[in-house]
Amino acid sequence: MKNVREFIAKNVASLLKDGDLVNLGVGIPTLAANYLPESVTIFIQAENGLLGCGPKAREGEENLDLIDAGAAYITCLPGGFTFDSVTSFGIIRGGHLDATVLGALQVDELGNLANWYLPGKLLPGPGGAMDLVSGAKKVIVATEHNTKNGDPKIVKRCTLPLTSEGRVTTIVTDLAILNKTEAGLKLVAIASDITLQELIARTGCELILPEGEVPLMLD
Amino acid sequence: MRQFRDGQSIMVGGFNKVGVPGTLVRWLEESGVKDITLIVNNCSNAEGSIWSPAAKMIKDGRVSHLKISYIATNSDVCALYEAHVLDIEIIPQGTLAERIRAGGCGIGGFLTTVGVGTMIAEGKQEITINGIKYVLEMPLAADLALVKASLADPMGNGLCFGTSKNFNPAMASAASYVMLETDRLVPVGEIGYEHVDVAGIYVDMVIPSAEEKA
Repeated sequence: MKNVREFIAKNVASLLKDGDLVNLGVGIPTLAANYLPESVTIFIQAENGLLGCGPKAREGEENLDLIDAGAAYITCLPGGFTFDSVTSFGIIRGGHLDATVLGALQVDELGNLANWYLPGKLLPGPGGAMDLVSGAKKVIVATEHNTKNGDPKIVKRCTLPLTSEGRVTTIVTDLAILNKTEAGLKLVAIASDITLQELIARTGCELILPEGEVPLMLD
Repeated sequence: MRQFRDGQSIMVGGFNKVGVPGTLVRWLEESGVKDITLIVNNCSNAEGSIWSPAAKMIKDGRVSHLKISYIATNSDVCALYEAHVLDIEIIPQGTLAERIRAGGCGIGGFLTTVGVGTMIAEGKQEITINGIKYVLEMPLAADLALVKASLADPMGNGLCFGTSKNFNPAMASAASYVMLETDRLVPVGEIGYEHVDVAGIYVDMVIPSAEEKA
C-alpha cells in the first residue's frame, strides 16, 4: 500500500518551480520539501518570521529561539533572515509568495477553501491560513481525497466556514491533481492505482476531463 | 505586580513557545486579576507549556474577552467557543499583527482582502476599490503589553534572537504600559544601534526572565 502522505508530498513538490518563494503548511505540505528534484531550489518562508528555512536542526544542535510555524527547531540557510510578524504578513499579503501549500477540511469547485473550523468538533483557528491564501500567487491544497468516513473533501460548495473565497488554484490528493478553471475543476493527473470511474465516485463535484489519456501522477 | 489590575486589556508576545515572556505571564496569573481582555497569537494549555498560567486564567474564567489567532494548541478555548461562555474574537494572524501595528502607529484602520466572504468579515464594513472587495479592520491597542527580547538594556532596547521577534516589537508600540522580559540584561550601548528590535522608547519596565528554556 502506498504511503499517502509521501505520495501527496511528492506530487506537490513536482508543481514547485526553481526559485519559487513558498510557504509550506504544517504536515504534508512541509514534507514536500523532501521531494524536490535536484534541479529545483526553492526558498521557504515560515510565517512566524523566517525566510530561508533550512532542514530541521540536528539533535543537540537546536537553536531554541529558531522554530518554524509548526514549532519544529529548524535551521536558517545562508542568505536567509528573520523578521517580525508585521513584516512576515506584509510579505504574505503583499503578493511576494509564489505559492502556498496547505491542508483542507473541504475545498470546492469554485476554489473556495475551508480549513480552520469544523463546528462542534474542531477549532484550530485560522492562524496564518487566511492571509496566506489571500496573498500567495498560487494556492496549492494538499489533502487526502476523502475524509476518514469516506466522504468527499472535494465538493460542489463548501458547507464548512470558509478560509477564503475562490483562491485555490490546484488541489493535490492521494487520487488526483485538479486545477481550478473558470468552468470548474479540471483533472490534470490521476493516481496509477485508481480508475477514472472510482475517482469520479469519490469526488463530490463534477470534473472536467482532459482530452485523450489522463496523465498519471508520480508514484 | 501593582501594574496588574482587574479589567485590563493585555497583549502578550510570542509565537508558539518562542518569544513568550514566561515569567511575566506567570506573575500575571499569580496576581489574581480577573475580567482581563487577553490578546495573543496562541495560548497552549499543554502541561508544562510556557503559556500554562495564561491558559489557566482562561480556564478559570478570569479572562472575559479573548482575541486570538491560532487555537489548535488549546482544547479549552475550543470548548469555551462552542459553549459561548467566553467572548472570543478569532483574528487571522496577519490581521492581528497589522491591527496591533495600526494601534501603535496612529493608523485609524486598514483595508485587507483577508477574510472577505468568511465569518471573519461578519459585522465589518466592506469597501470595494477598483473592483476589489476589502474588509475594514480597526486598530488594536491595550493597557498593558508583556513582551520578550533575548537581550535588553536598562533603557528597554531589546534584541530578539532567531524567530523570537514575532509579535513583540509591534505589541511594545501598542500599549500604554510595556513590560519587557529578557533572557539577559546588558549595559546600554551593548546592543548595536542597528540591531534593536524592540524600541526602548516604548518600554516602561525591564525584568530578567526566570524561565528555563525547553
